[in-house]
Amino acid sequence: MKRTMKTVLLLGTLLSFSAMSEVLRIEITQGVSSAQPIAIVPFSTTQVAGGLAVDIAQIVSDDLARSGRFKPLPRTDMLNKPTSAEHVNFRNWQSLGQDNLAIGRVSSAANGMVTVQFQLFDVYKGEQLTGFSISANRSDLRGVAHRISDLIYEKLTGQKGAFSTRVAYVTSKLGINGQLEYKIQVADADGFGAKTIVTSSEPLMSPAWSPNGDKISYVSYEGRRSSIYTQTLRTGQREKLRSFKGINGAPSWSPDGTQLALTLSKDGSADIYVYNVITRSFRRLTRSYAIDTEPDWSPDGRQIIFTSDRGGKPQIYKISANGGQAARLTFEGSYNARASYSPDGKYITMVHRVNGQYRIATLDLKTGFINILTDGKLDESPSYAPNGSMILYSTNDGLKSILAAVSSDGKVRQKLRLQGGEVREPAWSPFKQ
Amino acid sequence: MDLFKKHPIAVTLSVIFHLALVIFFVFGAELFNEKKIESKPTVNVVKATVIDESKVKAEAKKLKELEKKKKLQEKKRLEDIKKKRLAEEKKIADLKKQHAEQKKKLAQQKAEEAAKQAKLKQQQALKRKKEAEAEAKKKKLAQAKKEKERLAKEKAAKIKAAADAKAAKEQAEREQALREQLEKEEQENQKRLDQEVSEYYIKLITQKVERNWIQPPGEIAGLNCVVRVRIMPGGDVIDAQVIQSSGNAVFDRSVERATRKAAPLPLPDDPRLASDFRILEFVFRPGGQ
Repeated sequence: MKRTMKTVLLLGTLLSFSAMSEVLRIEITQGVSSAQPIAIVPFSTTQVAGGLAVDIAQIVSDDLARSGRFKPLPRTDMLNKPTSAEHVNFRNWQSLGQDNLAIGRVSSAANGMVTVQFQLFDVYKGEQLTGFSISANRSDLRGVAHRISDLIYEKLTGQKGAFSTRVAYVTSKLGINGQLEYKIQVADADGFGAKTIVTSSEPLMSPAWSPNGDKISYVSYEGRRSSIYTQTLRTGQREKLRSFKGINGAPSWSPDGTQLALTLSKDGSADIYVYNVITRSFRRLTRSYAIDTEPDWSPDGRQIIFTSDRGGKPQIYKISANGGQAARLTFEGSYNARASYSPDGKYITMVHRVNGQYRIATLDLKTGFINILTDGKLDESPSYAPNGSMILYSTNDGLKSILAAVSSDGKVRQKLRLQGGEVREPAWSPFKQ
Repeated sequence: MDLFKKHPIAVTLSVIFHLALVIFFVFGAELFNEKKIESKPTVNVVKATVIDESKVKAEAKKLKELEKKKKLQEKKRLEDIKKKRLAEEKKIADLKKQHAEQKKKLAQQKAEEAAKQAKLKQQQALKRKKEAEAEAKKKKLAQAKKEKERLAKEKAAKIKAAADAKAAKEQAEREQALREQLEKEEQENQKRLDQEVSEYYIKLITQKVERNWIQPPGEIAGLNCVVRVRIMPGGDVIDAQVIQSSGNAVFDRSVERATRKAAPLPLPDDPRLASDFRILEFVFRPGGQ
């Protein structure tokens, strides 16, 4: 109503204004936040000796669909499948309601490499928005596809794509010896190309990426005691942090990569401590008789949010990274835990219990508004994509825990099919440095 | 004759009276005249015949005496006659006088009568005159009244006519004013209607563009961008051009696309109004900020 009034007022002024300017002005104050229609035509592979095992266009299409920001046109709906600009008839794509069109060609290059060319068109304007030619190894074609997804995403949304990023997660599976085998794996953001970085017969927990994505810290119960390790991905080399009696858990890297916030119970109840990587010293941040755990740094490094049951039920609190008084952030619901900041620091995502079910929600820090994004029974460990567009989390699919992704507005959810048994505690990597 | 009808008794008396007078004058006078003539000759004839001398002397003396007596007698008779005559004369004179008087009286009467008659006549005339006058007056009055009435009527008619004219004029003026008012209202109505129609189509266009505007993700509040769109008569977009950039390329592209994608834009059928929609400027201002 308010908007209508405003519109009417504006119309009034605009109409009178138009009498002078002779041009009618129309105010548009709202649009839709729906997915952009895009057609990604299968790339031509006729110029590649032996053909390709990877369907680049399909990977791009899946990437964009998963983001929730795009609605790729099914191939079966395409009237024709042009692979070069001169064969594009924009009217066709307009009539299919497509805003954008991507076409591409793969051709053989020297040294067994291939060259992938692609072009992105604005269907309504009838012009090319961007075009690239990428040379790559045949083995890296998935990576090329993700890069194309990133380029399209960035061109069309103005935000950096996060398709070339990776995710780390914990799997557990019964081994050949009948024992549970724990692994921390790293895969492409779409779940493909998983690589195990550590395996243990004891639980592995809480993988956390270093800010530049070259290291992952995690908790390992090797030797039946919890310890925090930091492992360099490239080399596989790992370093154990000094561990204390009781809980050593929930590591979280500061944005500048100089500190790790973690949970220790060496002084009684679990509290938040900050470990300085350079000085190798620990600093106690919270002092309460309650359990304080699961710290996460604000993007500017000034605040740390954590879960505490100091109020009787687990809720999210905020404390200055330098210490001081903690302030409660969540008031809605009897259970809010495992919070982490969105990349822009405006939201936090967390596990929010509603009607006895654990779901992924976001809290708008400015308005205090909670938006519940998922509808599972036991959704856990939310982790923002580095561009903030999506949240990765674990959910129960039947009896099995799997990974799923939800767009940060909750509109698109997708399960990630990964090899192996139970999959938990996903952690989305930062952008590649 | 009118008179007789009006005064029968008076007229009858008058006639009888007049007749009597006439009879009197004619026969009365003759009776008197005959008596006079008979007496005179008788006396003279008888006494002249007797004469004697001694006798005549005596006789003459006697006669003289007789004569003297006779003379005396004569004298006396003469005197008597004279007296009589005088008396008669007197009587005649009296009669005459009486007659004259009578005549005079009669004349007077006559005169009076005449006067009376005249007076009567006069009176009658007067009366008639008066009557006539009255009649005339009456007539005049009637006429005057009639005239007056006519005048009044005329005046009334005139007034009425004037009033009518005035009323008619006023009516005409009122009608004119009304017509002008109506015309004005009609124009205003048309204008308002035009405006309403324009606003309706602006609303339709706004809605269609809004439906077709897929807002880019992220923080776009505060951005604003103006796109100028040239439109074909059927509502198709000839071209859309960002004439004021938001500074955000993705935002600019999204709004430019929205205007293209919204084609064909709903336009008013009335070519008069549709001409206002040949060029549109869309101001994209998310959240109205």
